[in-house]
Amino acid sequence: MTRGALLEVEDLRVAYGAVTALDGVSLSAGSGEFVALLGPSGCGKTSLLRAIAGFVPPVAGHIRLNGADIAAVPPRRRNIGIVFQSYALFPHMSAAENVRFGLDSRGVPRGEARARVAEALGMVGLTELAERRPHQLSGGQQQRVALARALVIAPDLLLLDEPLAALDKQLRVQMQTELRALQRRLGVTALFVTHDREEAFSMADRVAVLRDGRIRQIDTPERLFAAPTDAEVAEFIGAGNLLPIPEAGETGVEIAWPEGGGLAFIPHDRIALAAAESGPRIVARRFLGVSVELHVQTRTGILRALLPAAAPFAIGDAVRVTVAAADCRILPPG
Amino acid sequence: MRHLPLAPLLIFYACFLLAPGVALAVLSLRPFSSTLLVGEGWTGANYLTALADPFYLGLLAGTIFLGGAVTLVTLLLGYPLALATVRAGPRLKAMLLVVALSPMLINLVVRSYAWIVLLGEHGLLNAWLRAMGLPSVPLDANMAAVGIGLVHVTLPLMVLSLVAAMERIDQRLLEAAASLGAGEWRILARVHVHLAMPGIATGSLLVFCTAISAFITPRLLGGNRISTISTVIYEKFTFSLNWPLGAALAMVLLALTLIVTALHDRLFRAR
Amino acid sequence: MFARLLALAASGVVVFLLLPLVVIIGASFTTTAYVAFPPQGFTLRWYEALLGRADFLAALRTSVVLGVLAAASAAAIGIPAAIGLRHAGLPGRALLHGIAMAPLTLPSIVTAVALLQFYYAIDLDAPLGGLLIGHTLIVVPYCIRTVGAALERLDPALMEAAESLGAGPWRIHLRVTLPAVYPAILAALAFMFVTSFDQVTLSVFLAGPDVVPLPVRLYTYIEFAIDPMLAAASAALIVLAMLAVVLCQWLLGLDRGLLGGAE
Repeated sequence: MTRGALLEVEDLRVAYGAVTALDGVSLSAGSGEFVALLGPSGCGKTSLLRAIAGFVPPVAGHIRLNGADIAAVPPRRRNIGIVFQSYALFPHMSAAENVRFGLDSRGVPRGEARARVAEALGMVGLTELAERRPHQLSGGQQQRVALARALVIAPDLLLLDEPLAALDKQLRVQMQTELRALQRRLGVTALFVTHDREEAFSMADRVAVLRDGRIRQIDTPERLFAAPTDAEVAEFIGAGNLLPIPEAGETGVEIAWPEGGGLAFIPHDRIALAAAESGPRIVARRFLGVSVELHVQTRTGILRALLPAAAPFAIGDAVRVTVAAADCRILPPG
Repeated sequence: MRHLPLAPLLIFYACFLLAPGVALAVLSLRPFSSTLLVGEGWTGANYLTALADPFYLGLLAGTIFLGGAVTLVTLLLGYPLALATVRAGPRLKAMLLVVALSPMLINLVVRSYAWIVLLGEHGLLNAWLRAMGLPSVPLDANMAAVGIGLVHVTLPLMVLSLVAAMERIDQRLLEAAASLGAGEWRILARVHVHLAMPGIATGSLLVFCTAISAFITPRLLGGNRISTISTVIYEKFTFSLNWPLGAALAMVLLALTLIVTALHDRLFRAR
Repeated sequence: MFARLLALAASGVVVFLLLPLVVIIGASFTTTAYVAFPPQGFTLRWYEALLGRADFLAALRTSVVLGVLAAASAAAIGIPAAIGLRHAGLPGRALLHGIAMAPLTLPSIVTAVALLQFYYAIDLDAPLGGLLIGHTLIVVPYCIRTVGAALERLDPALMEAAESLGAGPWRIHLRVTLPAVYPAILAALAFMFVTSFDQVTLSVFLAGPDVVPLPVRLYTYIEFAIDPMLAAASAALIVLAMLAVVLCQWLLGLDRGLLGGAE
């Protein structure tokens, strides 16, 4: 898509024996871009990462880094930094020795290596713990060592395989912010695998939704939410209501229902409610802080509407539902 | 390329496992020569002797019988110890395991020596019996002494196999049997033994193969009076210097071991 | 009733298992010139006598040298083999693993006579070399098994991490894989040494007149004399073996602790 992109993946196919893991994946990432690969387990996102890293040979397709095809380049010459889900820290080496490993492998002179290790450890706030072994560090600290080790070699591309999955919720949110800030500061292109929607949407410039070995949609978080390409993507990212289009005018929902079959997609925040004498009723209410989510039982199904927290509705109230024609789109089932 | 790290091992095995094995097989097909050690040409006579001559046939039968008896006794002794081990608390369990494995700590020669000291004509057992005014028991240099020594040697193998299998038994099955009103003996006979069968089979295989091919124990505890295939192989290679016949006997012993192992695999691994 | 009978039977078996140990260690302290148990009085003179026997000390030296060399040679060929067998995608992996374990399935007397006649056929007249080859053959499967098991427990991502950081195959193994499993390597070395030290059958066939490992010396000694000095030698061997086991356990425990802590 982007011309002169740093990473270009073109029609990539990966198979393990008879099992197809990637079925024609194309993707590109510009310099400094942060792309999230989002999908349920088994969707092929890790296979894509491993193919780019060089650990699994593709059956077909191309991977280009800085414009050059890297099919024949062994993993150790690709200059790609990887943060593994298990961190894969060398258990017998201190944090500093772990970080230094890639520099030693590249024959970086001693003095320069020492300075770069110190800088990298400082960057992730671990200067004091440099001499600790991995098993003497907490999960979050190990994660930072793994990140420093991948970044210190000044990689062209940073691959992150669910790096935050093992951390508890609070630490994870903190690391998301730190990680993104660090990546932005260094300007390194990053590919981030996750199955956590919030994580993908809060961190990435663009999110690629993978399912069954294919990229179903790749877009900015905003556009993914506003315009999912099909019902399955919409459902997976939880972007809005998906309703079967009803028989004419029987629902109590004032919409100009679009023509044709399939599912109607209505974003949660595009539904207007007004108090009424009769009509659909509110069956559930979830208070979310700044907003409130109301579940309205219509004849065609439950409609979830996101309103400001002050919205004056309670469970059992009858409402009139209005949706602008422009906010209701038909999606193919996917 | 990926096989490269295996190269040193495979070359070593080719030179000192495969080549000697093939040479042994060839030797077993050579005629005996009293002057040359090994004669020229080919013959099946050594195998004919090893498998048809009444003396060697008896030797084979005796060795197999010894192996079977040792296996049975080891199983009968090992089962209660293994059962007590898996039922014990963590501390007692660790202690029992150490005891069960303790014979493996002792050199085979030392173990045989201990049994000679205990069982011999002028040994401790008979000294104790005489002290109590009882008649002495002839346990010197006979099949019983060899059997006792071999049981002691092989018991750790049996207990280990049994414990491994019993640890895998789902305790709920035993509880279910108990809830159906079965007594402990009934559970043992009808459920536990059945569930422990893989361990019984593996243990028996290890014990039988070890017993039929044992050399040091029969040699030292059997004096010169008890012969097994192994001790006769030794004699053929050291005293009578009939190497071709010794080689044929070694091949027969190897075949016996492989057949029993294959039988076990077929019966118990396939499932 | 059942529990009591079981306890009784198990106790009987425990006595049977421990009897020879107890008798040997006890008898080594007897003041009598013949083996007596319970020991009469207490003396260390049999141990003194043992230290005065040049042939026993030479045999001990031979056994130690043989054990060290066999463990080292087996490690030199076994560790690369364990690394090679670790590759899940290796063609013929199951078969190669079976071949690697083959010396364990062969009766040692068959291995012994096979080597004996083979050395004669190729005119190898170097008893220590012949013993070394035989002992290496018998212990190398233990090395492959112990080191292989430790490698299996290793996170495969470790090797990939090293590779992505620019390390070649040699560097990956020398700097990452092997250091990460060093306790298992030490345990394998200790176990191989003990196994070689303990080996009799093979040594009886392959020993030369001037190269006699300790168990063979004991074996030939028993054939003509049974006295408390042998009990002393045996007791010393038992204590050595116990120390070796404790060492192995400690090393393997260390291995688990190290790897477990990194997860």
